Amino acid sequence: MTPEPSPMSACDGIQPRLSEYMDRQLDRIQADQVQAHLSVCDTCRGVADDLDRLRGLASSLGPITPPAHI
Amino acid sequence: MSSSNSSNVHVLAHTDMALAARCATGEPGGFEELYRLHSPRLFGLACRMVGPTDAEDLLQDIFLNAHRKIRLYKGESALGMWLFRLATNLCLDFLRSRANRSAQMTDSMDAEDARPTEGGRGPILGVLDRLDLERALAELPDGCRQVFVLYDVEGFEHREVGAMLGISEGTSKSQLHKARMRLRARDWQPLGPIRGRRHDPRAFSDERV
Ligand SMILES: [Zn+2]
Repeated sequence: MTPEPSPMSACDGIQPRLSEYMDRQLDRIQADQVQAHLSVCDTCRGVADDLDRLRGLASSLGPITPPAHI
Repeated sequence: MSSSNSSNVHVLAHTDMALAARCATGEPGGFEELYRLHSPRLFGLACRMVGPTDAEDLLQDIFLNAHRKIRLYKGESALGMWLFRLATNLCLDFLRSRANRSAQMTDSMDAEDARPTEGGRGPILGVLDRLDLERALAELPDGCRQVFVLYDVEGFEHREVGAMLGISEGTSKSQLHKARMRLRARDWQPLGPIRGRRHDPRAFSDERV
């Protein structure tokens, strides 16, 4: 058995902070905690990757030209 | 939202005041120019805030209001921002009355959405495109959709989002995370291939500056 590096209790504390981590809203200590966890936890790393992809896609949504009849 | 540089700001302010004056005095072509310049961003906002079905009516409302109030514009902010705030307020009014009508304001998240998720497979991956995301926005509860649109799509800071929506910065942050987690947890079709995860904590840390 491989030892489990990231028990769910740790993930419980990390995932609610992932958006703030990505957006650089956390203080240094908290950001370091999240970063350390992500380096050992595939699950949270996967969530973070998805949120980041989502964020990138959202920022690429541009203006929409209204139909001419308005 | 910061402008590029101070000389541009000066030129823009001058142009904005001139255009507003042309609209206020009913000069031919003035309002058409205002519409041509600003309707795409405001229509995008309306589509994402209230959905494409109601966005056309709402856009008319927005410019009707702008027409009535343009005399009040004194150049304190860019004209585009002035219009954006006016449009945001009308979107919020619309959403409130729609929520009252249907009494289905479900602003609470299911508990499992916020809980840590199993496995390394991301449901979004590379297959999600802009159109998918535009459609999915409609399924979000009003509160977190508003924050997602203003922060992630429009690029405002939490302080600005809070001011526009009348909520605290902390609420803006938590609603944003709810929106992102909810979108992530959505059953995207078709799902991309299962993919291995990288171990690079810096992979996304430098993108949004
Ligand atoms: Zn974890």
